Amino acid sequence: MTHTPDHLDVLLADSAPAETSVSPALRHDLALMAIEARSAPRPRRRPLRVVATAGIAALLVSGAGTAVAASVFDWAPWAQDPDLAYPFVLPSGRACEARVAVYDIESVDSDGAVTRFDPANDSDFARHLRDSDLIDQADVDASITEVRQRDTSISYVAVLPGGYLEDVHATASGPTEDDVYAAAVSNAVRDVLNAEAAMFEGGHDYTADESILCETVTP
Amino acid sequence: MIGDRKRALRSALEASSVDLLSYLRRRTDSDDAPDLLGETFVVAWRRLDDLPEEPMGARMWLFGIARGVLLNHARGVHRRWALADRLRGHAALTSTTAPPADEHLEVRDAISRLEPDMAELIRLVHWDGFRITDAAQVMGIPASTARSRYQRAKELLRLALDPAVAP
Repeated sequence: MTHTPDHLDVLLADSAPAETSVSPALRHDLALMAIEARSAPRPRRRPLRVVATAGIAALLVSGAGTAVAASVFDWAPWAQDPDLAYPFVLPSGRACEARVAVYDIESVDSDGAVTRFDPANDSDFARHLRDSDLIDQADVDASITEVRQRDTSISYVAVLPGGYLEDVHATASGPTEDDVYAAAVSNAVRDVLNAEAAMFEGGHDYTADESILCETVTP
Repeated sequence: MIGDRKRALRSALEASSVDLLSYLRRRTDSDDAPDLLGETFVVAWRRLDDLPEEPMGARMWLFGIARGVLLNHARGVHRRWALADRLRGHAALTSTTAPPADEHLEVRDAISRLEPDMAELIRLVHWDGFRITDAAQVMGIPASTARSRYQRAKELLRLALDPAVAP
């Protein structure tokens, strides 16, 4: 304040609760806390759900989608605790989920083979992903448009009855709506990761495991 | 350079941590303040990219984060940080045994009856020592808005504390 304090100013200042008494020990612990906060474990958020059609939105909002996915899908060990999870439903109603784990790159040899850091060492980028609601940024609709423009005369990505995604040889009927949607989700999730990595700490190189599993169906 | 940024944030946290702790203790239960400070630190690290370059800007930015943490706390978002336990053991952070004087209680009560933004402006200026323009920055409002709200708050406090502020 630049003006001369009046009686009200004095009263207001005097009403302040006592300041914190500073000791060397307190300063020391505050400094430690500031450093530790950088790597403090982040609370895990429940993955958001994405719906393919309005008709199944109610089912997913109720939480059934994740419950089904968690109990039915046989995830690989790395996917048991993913850095990003994206439950979704195919146009046919099959419940699916995409899971990604990211790792920092330790080295890349002359052949381009990537060596990742020990997966057990949680990276800053992995923690950042887990803490962020990035799933909201996945633009599946835009990705569907891109997938539809692909040349499917030789092969395309299909959702197999066993629940896996795979590149299959072209068929006369071409990809189904489920195939297109699943490929679009895969793309959209990867786009989100790449965009986030580009912004993280001014650009971050990473490698990742990605898996999409869907409910099995009888062929 | 990301390394420079990290060093700048460490420096900003070191420079403002005591004041941030005081700020949080003045607005909430003393036992919660270390957790809120821990949350403030964690959020600051997460938003490292947004750290202002100027030290004073960084200080205001940190108080803005602390204010956001406080607002979340008021909305019922409670989180216990293990790294806050260390602070809770300090005698300096235990509740004061002496209750505030009646006159101070009356003033605090009058402040608390103001609209929340007015009350916070008064506290930031008179309890935490911010200039009105800096308080505006912490609160994320234009300085001109802060000035008019501050003047209005002072008028209301004069009315509420009429006998106390009479010369």
